[in-house]
Order: sequence, then C-alpha cells, then structure tokens
Amino acid sequence: MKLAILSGILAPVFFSFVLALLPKGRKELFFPIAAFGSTIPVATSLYLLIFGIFDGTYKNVFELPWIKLYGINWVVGYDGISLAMIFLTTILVPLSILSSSAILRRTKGFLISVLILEAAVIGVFTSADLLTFFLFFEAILVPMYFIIGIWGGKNRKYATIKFIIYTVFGSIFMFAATVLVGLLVLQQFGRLAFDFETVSNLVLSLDQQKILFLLFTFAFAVKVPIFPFHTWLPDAHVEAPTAGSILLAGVLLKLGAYGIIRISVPFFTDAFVEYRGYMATLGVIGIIYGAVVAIPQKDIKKLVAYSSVSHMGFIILGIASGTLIGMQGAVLQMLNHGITTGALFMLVGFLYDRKHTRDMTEFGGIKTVMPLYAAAFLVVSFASIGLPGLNGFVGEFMILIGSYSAYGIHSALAASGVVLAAIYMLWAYQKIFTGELKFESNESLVDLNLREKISIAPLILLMITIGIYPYLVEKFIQVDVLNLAKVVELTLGGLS
Amino acid sequence: MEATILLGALLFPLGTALFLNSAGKYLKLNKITLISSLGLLGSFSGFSMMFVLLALNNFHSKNITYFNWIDSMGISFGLQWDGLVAIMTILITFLSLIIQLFSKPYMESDERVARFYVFFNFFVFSMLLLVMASNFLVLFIGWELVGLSSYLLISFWYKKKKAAQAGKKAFILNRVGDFGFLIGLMIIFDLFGSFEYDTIFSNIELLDSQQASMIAFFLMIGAFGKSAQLPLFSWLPDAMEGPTPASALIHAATMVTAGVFMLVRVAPILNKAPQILLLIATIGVLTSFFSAFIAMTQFDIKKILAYSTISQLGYMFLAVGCGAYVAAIFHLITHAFFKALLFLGAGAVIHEMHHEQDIRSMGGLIKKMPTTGFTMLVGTLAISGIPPLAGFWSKDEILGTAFISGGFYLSLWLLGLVTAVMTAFYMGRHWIYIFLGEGRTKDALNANQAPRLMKISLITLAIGSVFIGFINTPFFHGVEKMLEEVLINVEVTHSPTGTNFIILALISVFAGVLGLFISNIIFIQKIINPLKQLQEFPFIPKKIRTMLVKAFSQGSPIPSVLKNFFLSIKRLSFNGLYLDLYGKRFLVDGSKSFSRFMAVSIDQLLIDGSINNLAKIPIYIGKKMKPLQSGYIRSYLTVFGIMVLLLVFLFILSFGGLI
Repeated sequence: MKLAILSGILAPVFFSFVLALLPKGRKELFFPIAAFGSTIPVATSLYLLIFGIFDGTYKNVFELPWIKLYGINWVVGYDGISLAMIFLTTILVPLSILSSSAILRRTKGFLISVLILEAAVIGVFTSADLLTFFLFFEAILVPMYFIIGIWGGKNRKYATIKFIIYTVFGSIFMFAATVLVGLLVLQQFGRLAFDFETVSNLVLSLDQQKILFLLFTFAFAVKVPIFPFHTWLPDAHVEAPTAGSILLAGVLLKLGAYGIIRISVPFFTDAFVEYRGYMATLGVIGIIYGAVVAIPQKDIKKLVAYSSVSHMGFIILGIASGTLIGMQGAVLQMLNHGITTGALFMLVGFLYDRKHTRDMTEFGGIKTVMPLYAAAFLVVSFASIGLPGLNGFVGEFMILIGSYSAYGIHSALAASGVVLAAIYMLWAYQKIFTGELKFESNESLVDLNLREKISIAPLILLMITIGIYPYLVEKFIQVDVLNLAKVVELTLGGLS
Repeated sequence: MEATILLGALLFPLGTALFLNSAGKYLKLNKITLISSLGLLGSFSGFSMMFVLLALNNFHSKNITYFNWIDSMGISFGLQWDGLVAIMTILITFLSLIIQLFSKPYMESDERVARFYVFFNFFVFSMLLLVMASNFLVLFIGWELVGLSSYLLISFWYKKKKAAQAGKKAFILNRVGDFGFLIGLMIIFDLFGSFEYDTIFSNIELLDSQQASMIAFFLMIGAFGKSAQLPLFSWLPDAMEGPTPASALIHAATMVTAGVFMLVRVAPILNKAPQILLLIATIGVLTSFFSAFIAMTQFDIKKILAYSTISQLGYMFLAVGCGAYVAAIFHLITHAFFKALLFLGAGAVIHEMHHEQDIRSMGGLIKKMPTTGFTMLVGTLAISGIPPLAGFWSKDEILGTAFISGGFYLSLWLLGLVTAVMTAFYMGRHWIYIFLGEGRTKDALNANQAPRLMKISLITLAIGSVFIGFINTPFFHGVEKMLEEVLINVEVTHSPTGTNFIILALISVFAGVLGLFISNIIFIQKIINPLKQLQEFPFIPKKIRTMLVKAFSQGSPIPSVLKNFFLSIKRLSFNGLYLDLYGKRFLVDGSKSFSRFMAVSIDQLLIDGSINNLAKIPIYIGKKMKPLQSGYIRSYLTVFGIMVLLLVFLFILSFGGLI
C-alpha cells in the first residue's frame, strides 16, 4: 500500500529526471517516456481501488519525519474521496500528454512540467497533514507557471502572473491559518504537529473556528473558484496549452473543493454550519452567473471556462447543503466535471491544433467534414449539460435534490442551470458544426486521427459508464461522505 | 421470467440502435430495415405477450427492481407493468413498426438513412423507458432521453440552418419544462424520501392540499413543456423541419403524449389539488383553441398538422383537468392512430410532390393518389369526431365529462366545442386543398401513387382509426377496465351515459359536421367571391339574400370595416398570434443582450477590472518608493543622519520617563 501510493508521486518525479537527462536529439523518446511515467500512477489508483479499505475512516499510510522539532513531517493517507480524485488525476494526465502533440519546441521541458504537476497533485490528494497539504498545494503553481507561461497563447504572460499571484494571495491566508493551527496544537497538546488526526482532536471555540474556517476557505475559494474570485480562470484557461487547460479544469479546480471537504468542513464544523448559507448563495450565484456569461462568448475556451465556474457552483452548493445526498453529489460531480470538462478542453485543443483559432465564428458547418469529431463533441456537450445516461446528470441531480431540504430556494434557482447549460452548449455546437460549411478554408479539415481517438475514447467511455451505473463510484465515496454528513448533522442538531 | 421479457422488450430497440450505429454504414438499406423491424417486432411481441398475461390476471399491477442505482437515495432501476404501461408500450411499438415500414421508401434516397434508423430506434427505447418506469427518476431519465432523440431527429438534416435551430429550440423549451419538473421532483423527494411510485402513492394521505398543489403545479410545467402547451409550444411547429416519419412518431403519436401520460401517472397527487386541475384544464382548452385558430390559416401541410396536434393534446389536458383520466388516455390512443395516419399521408404527398409542402401548390391529388387520399379522408373524418370513427368516441367522452363537471368547466366545454368546429374546418380545408379540384402546379399534375409500403402503412392506420374507438364506448369500457387498478384510489370523473350521452354526442357531432360543412362550401366551391356564394345560398329567401349582398357589396361602408377586421384576424392567425415573434424578441434577443452585458460590463469591467486595479496598487507604491533608491550616497547619508538623530532623541526621551 505504501509503495502503491508513494509510487504515484515518486514515479512521475523519477521519470521527469529521466526525461531531463535524455539527449536533445532523441526527440522520439520524449513522449513515450513521459506517457509511460504518467501511466504508472494509474496502477496506483487501480491498486487502491482493489485493495483499499473504504469504511469511512481516513487511513494513514506513511509518515516521514522531516523537521521533527517543528512537527514538519510528510504524512500520507487516503480515503474514498481522495481515491476519486487520485483516479481522476491519473486518468487525465496521460491523456493530456497524448493530446499535446502540438508542443514542438522545448517539448522536454513541457513534459517534465506535466509530470511534476502530476506528482504534486497526487501529493495534495494523499496528504494527511496540513503542512504537507500546503506544500504540495503551492508546489503545483511552479509547473503551472511554466506550462502557461512558456507554452501558452498570445496573452500568456498576463494570464500566468494573474493566476499565480491571485492563487498565492489566497494561499497566504491558508499559511497563516496553518501556523495558527500549529500554535493551537502546541497549546493544547504540548507539541507542534500538523497532521489531520491531531488537528481533528483540537478543541476550538466558535470564534477560533470562524477565523480558521474563513482563512482556509478563502484560499480554497480562489482555487475552486467561487464567485467573485473567479476572474483568473477565463484568462488562465484561454492562454494555457491544451494539456494545461485539461489539467487546470479537470484537476486543479477540484483541489479547492477537496480542501473544503477535507479541511474546512470536518475541522471547523461549527463555523461551517454558521457560514454555509453564504457558501450556498455564492454557489448559486456562480451557477447562474457562470452560465449567463458563457452564453455570449465567441472564444470556445472562454465559454468552457465560464461553464466550469457554473459547474463548480453546483459543487459548492452541494457541499454547503451539508446533507448526505448533497455532499455525495458534490464529490461525485467533482469526478464527473473533471472528466467532462477535461474531454471538452481536449476536443477544443484538437480543433485549435488544426486551425489555430478558438473563435467560433470562424467555423460553421464543419460537421460535414469532421463527423466523428462532431459526434464526440455532441456527446461531451450533453454530458456537460447533464443529460441523464451520462455522468453529469447524476451528480447535478443529487446536488439539487440534496440541497433542496437545506436550502429550498437556492436549489430551485440552481435548477435553472440545466436550462442555461443547454442554451450555451447547444448554441456553441450549432455555431461550430451545423449548417452548410461556412468557409471554404475549412474544407480541408481532417477528422480525428488514431491518437486523438485513443485520447478521447476513455473519457467518453467513463461518461457513459458512470452515467448508466453511478453506484460504481458511489460505493467508494459513500461511507466517507456519510460520516462527514453525520458530523455536520450532529453539529446542526447541537445548535437547535 | 416476466422480468426478462419486459427487460428484453425494452432493450431490443436500444440494441438495434447501437448495432446499426456501428454497422449501419456497411449494410444495404434492406438489411437495415429488416434488422430494425425485427427489433421493433420483438419488442411488440414481448409487450403483447405480457399484455395477454396481464389481462388474464385482471390487470393487476406489478413492478420489478433490477439493480441498485444511487444507493444513498434508495434509487434503483425498476420497471412497472400495469394497464397503463401495457397500453402505452403496445401503442408505441405498434405505431413505430408501422411508421418505420413507411420510412423505408421515404428515406431511401438519404445518404444518412442508417443514422435515421439509429435515432428512430433510440427514441423508441427512450419512450419505452419513460412509460415503463416504476419510479420518478427512471421516468425522468426516459423523459430527457426522449428530448435528446427529438433533438437528434429534428436536426437530422443538419445542413439546413432552420432544422438545426429548430432542434435546439425544441430541446431548450423542453428543458424549461424540465426545470419545473425538477423542482417538482425535489419537493416530492423532500416530502416522501423516495421516488418509487409505490411508496409515494401508498403514503399519499400524508400530503395536504397545499403540498399537493405545489407538486402538481411544477409537474404540470414539465408536462406542458413536453406536450407543447401554452406557453411552451412554439417548438412543435418548428419541429416539422425533421423527416416526416419522425414527425409522425414523435410529434404526433408518442413523445408529446408523455406529458399527458405523466400527469395520469400522478393522478393521486393531482386529485388532491383541485385548483391545479382546473388550471390544467383551462390552459389545455386555451391552447387547444388558439392552436386551432392558428391552424386555420396555415399553408404548410405539416404545420397544419403540428398545430392540430397541439390542439388535440389540449383536449387531453382538458380531460386530465376534469379528472377524466380514462378519457385522456383514450383520446391519446385514438389520436395516435389518426394523427400518425395524417402525418404519414402528408409524408406520402410530400414524397410524391418532390418535397413541396405548400398546400396551395397541390390539388386534385385524389385522382393521382387515391389510396393516400382516401385514407387521409378517414383520418380527417376521425379527427373531426364523426361517428363511428375513433375520434368521435374519445373526443366526445372528453367534452361530455367537461360538461358534466359543471361550474367553470362549462365554459371550458363550450370553448372545446368551438374548437371542435374549428378542427373540422381546418382539417377539411387541409384535405380539400390537397386532394380536390385540379392540380395547381406541374408536380401536382404529374404526381404518382405512393409506393406500396407507404400504402400498406396508411391502410393499416386507417383501419385502426376506424375501429380503435370501440375499445372504450359507453357500451364497452375497455380502457377503463384496463386502467382500473392503476387508478384504484383515484376518483375518476365518469363520462355521461344514457340520454345525457346521446344529447351531448349529438352536439359534438353537429360541431364536427358544421365545421366540415363550412369548410366544404368555402373551399370546394372555391370561394373567391363570398358574395357570389351568398347570392346562390339556397336556404335563405332571395329577398334577404339580395339585401345582404347589397349591404356587403363594394361602396358600402360596412364591408371595409368588416373586411379589415376579418383580415386582421386572419393575419393574427397566420402569424401564430405573434407569440413566436414576441417570444424571440423578448426572450431570445433580450437574454442575448443581457448576457452580453453581464459578460462585458460586469465580469470584464467591474469584477476583473477591480482585480486589475488592485494589481496596480503595488506598482503604484513601488513607483513612488523607487526614487528613494537613488544610488546617490548623499541622500542615503542624509536619511541615515536623520534616523540617527531621531533614535538619539527617542533614547533621551525614554530616559526622561516620558516614553
């Protein structure tokens, strides 16, 4: 087990070193080695899936002391929710590498960045300790800085700086909060420690909880992103290269939601109960606002970026509801949204590789020349819209039903998201694919090649599988979310 | 065993669809049709077998759970089998079989014909899933998938901009209905903790009238979205852009009836919400009336039928609103037959007219296409409610029930009656324009008979339209018996019997005949000059005739006022009450500008702008502080000196106990 999880982090790092050492002339080795290195963590997920124990308790797997005196250690563990996220990451990274054939200059550096990113992300999802969490959380920004800053679009410098500084600004509060927690641990237990187990045993007053909750959650709010802290997202997504966008939307956004579920809610439950109303409201605003602003976009990537804001709003609403069904829907949706939006950005990337434009008005009627691509795009669009039978529906549905009992009006308003999503996605589809071929220059567009088919197929397969049989995912995350919900319920009960 | 048969019958069309999706382009059309037909036939036989079993078992309901879906919500995938489900499944599979046969000659020249069969079969699967559901979630899944199939079929000819737009419009308006449906579902789950029909209906006592009304209201919105009632109806006429067989199946016989089906399914809840029932009946009748009004001036062969569908659906909702659930389902059945017949007939005409759809370009086709013409006459008479054809029995039952319900329902009855006159009128007009007189274009003069398969489909449906009405007459309550256990605890309003029945029946028949009569005079006699008609009208004494003609002739002031009034009403009808126009302007263009405003002014300028301005602050501070680092030793020393002095000063002060 130890080896399984650690290899998830160490293997990509190891292979990034291998890549670094490869001579420049051997270009044909870069992608295969990177792909191989990124696929090893898939084994990690599978191992966890098969041999992991999901009984609702967080399992500590490994502790590596570092600076013992200050309680700075590397603590690793997992539970059902982490597994879902790890699985998502390990699926998306190899596929995003497959989709990056357009990166022709400084390819090695790009692949190394992606691998380090994978390691860091898995590091966050396996952290069982606040400082470890923080370290990996920040570590992600380094490869992202390079990925967007070097291999991004025209306006990449602005987008990168904005993204990094905005995120770091949030993280500062998290760091402050972590230090505070450490001091409180010192005060209550006589030693400095940051691991989840110790922290969960802290006795905190409501005011203390409130401060810590706000500090942590603000950092996560920037990451999710929660309205109105979302404006870094459109720029970052638009300027990032395909793999960057896939991983940014597919995985990095989930870090914020994961942080809330893993840290804010269980450790500062009283504060959570106090503030969840605001969270729910911001979530609903995000849903409607994100969708409304997505509608008039001409840039496909920007449209998908805003749709991500909308979808993450659902997740926030689900978490804020505090009900078992709502939170379970949220966790499920974290996985689903990663798959769906990852697939969308992948497809957009394919189009960009061909025509080097993301402007929808430059297409029109290309279903005639790229029928398979159009079909794939349609399937993924419907998954994003939340059509039953595909994965997006289940999570959204659970969130809506689950949050109704807690926040009826919010839930009813959020339901309008299903109409808005249909509007922006189908309109985009119509603009790009249907009608007569608008521009002769598009006649030479080629349909999906083998590599692209291999990249998108697993995602579509997952969408359909989870859509038809969601229990597959549910049984892993069920008990963990149940326990979380119980804690919330107890706190709620204590108040009334 | 029954579980397997049901599951198999449900999955056959899906299997066919999936198979044809991958293998379709390599197969010849004959093979494709064969496979598709076998799938549907298998489905139909399965359901027929189960129907017989059910009938033998006195229509006792049962449900079967297959597997766990969402554990924490207690939702599993389950199917129900009772009288209502049996009726729907047999109707769906039978009609799809017939319509699919028709599709072969109709779609054979299309290069994507295999894809058509894929979507067709997928639709059948979705619709079956919808009606066979044993809980609201499976119902909703089928509901949405039916919406998807509709989208795919309407925009089948995606190269046509109009078709693509129509598909999108249909899906979005459906979704607006679904938005209401979802809220209804949320309330249901909140109150009952389950989506299973069994659980909910056995605990129906727990609902008070207010809760029931809330649920009923939102479910009603869902039903109206799917069944194209006011105000969510404008997608249906546009949906005619799709291939005619699709229009026949989806937008006449099956998908649009899903709303009616769903409301009948939740009859126990509806019966606790009498105000909502009244609302449903009122909106149904109003929709019925206004869509009939619009149909009277349309010239597109399919659009007339589309508005007719909306109108007939309105009747079904009137029935639901009166608590006459049996009548609603009965009309659903009869309407499915004669509407499918009418649409396929229209399809045959369109096919022979080389895809001309304007009825003004037709004429005299009864001579060229006798089978089509005759069968369509049967359909026209059926929809006009002429006994003993099917439409009479069902429409009359609905109107009769409305009359008996009394109170406000009487005005609804009256409106329904007027609509019946209009229905007969525009359907008569429809038929006459196409088939009588002389061909008005070259295509019409050179039209050939419809291909054999089409004729077979038409004849089958015509026979159905004649005889299917007999399954639920005042002498033999077939449908009522089938639905008995389904509606076991529901108070169903019964249609009048005996003398009441005869009187009301006569009134309805009169309405139908009147409509046809007017239509006949006007169109067969090819009214160009209404005054000439009036002159020669045999039943009014000559003196009065001459007086009237004089009064309405040119020169007299009365005519122009009347004429203008008449013309503006005609224009109102022709333009669909301008609802679509205003809908587009207000909702579509309005939301486009609103979202653009949000995107640019709010997000870009306001929110992002504030972030960017925040970013300017450090730059500003930095710029101001920069001169301090002048590299100029003298200024450094100056500052240093001042600071030292300050420190010394503070030091002295602290000694003096002042600080």
